[in-house]
Amino acid sequence: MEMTLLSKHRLIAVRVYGELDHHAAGDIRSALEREIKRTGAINIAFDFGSVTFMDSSGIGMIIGRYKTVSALGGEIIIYGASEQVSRLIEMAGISHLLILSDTLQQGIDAMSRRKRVNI
Amino acid sequence: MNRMELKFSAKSVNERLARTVCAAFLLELDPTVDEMSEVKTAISEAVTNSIIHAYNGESGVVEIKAEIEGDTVTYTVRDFGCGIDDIAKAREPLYTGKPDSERSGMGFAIMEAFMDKLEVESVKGEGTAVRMIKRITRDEQ
Repeated sequence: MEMTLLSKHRLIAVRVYGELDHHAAGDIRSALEREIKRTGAINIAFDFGSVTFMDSSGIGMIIGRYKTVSALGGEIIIYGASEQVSRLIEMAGISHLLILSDTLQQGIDAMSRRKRVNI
Repeated sequence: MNRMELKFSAKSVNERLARTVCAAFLLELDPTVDEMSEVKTAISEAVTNSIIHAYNGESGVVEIKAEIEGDTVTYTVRDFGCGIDDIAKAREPLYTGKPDSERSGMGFAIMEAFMDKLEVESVKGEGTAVRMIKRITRDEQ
């Protein structure tokens, strides 16, 4: 996992690698919660381009982060998700809570439009 | 008929081991990428349930027995943990026995959606067995 702070957008971009299961979800959860507190970021963008597998533990982790950022007025962006990951997100019925995009820039553009911020 | 058995400690690090071995066992039937991924996900859900709910962080053993008969694979994931109080409730979509642990409550719904048949047997204090059956469609091109 790699995290980058984009201060201008108050956003933490996190690149997740490999298999996002119950074993991996706990580490991502605690790292992100810590970074949100430390940096004051209110938005999270997940780069799922390198996620090769996800199960419902990943969905639980996404919903958990959604609760955190939505309480702060922020958004969750997910980009680069594989078909397998997208299918689970659809099944979970949480697409409407998230900004799903192909690239980080598209996600940030969609977020800015939602927030009515001039870009 | 082909058989396989796998027994491992109820530790989250073994979730990947379990789903990888179960998916590899399926290769004999020449599954599609989607079928492989469905089996991996369903196995991952069953094993995660055993680790989180049946043993609740305590040590224990998870056992998987698999068999292929014709074009059909059957996986039985068994634990010897606390058992399920109310199976019908546990199988309801979005129900979770651990609302504070970021569980989505989707486990059984995913197993049902990704496999053809799901049977759950549980005895309080003795454990739970989840049996999942899937027919692999052969592409005759």
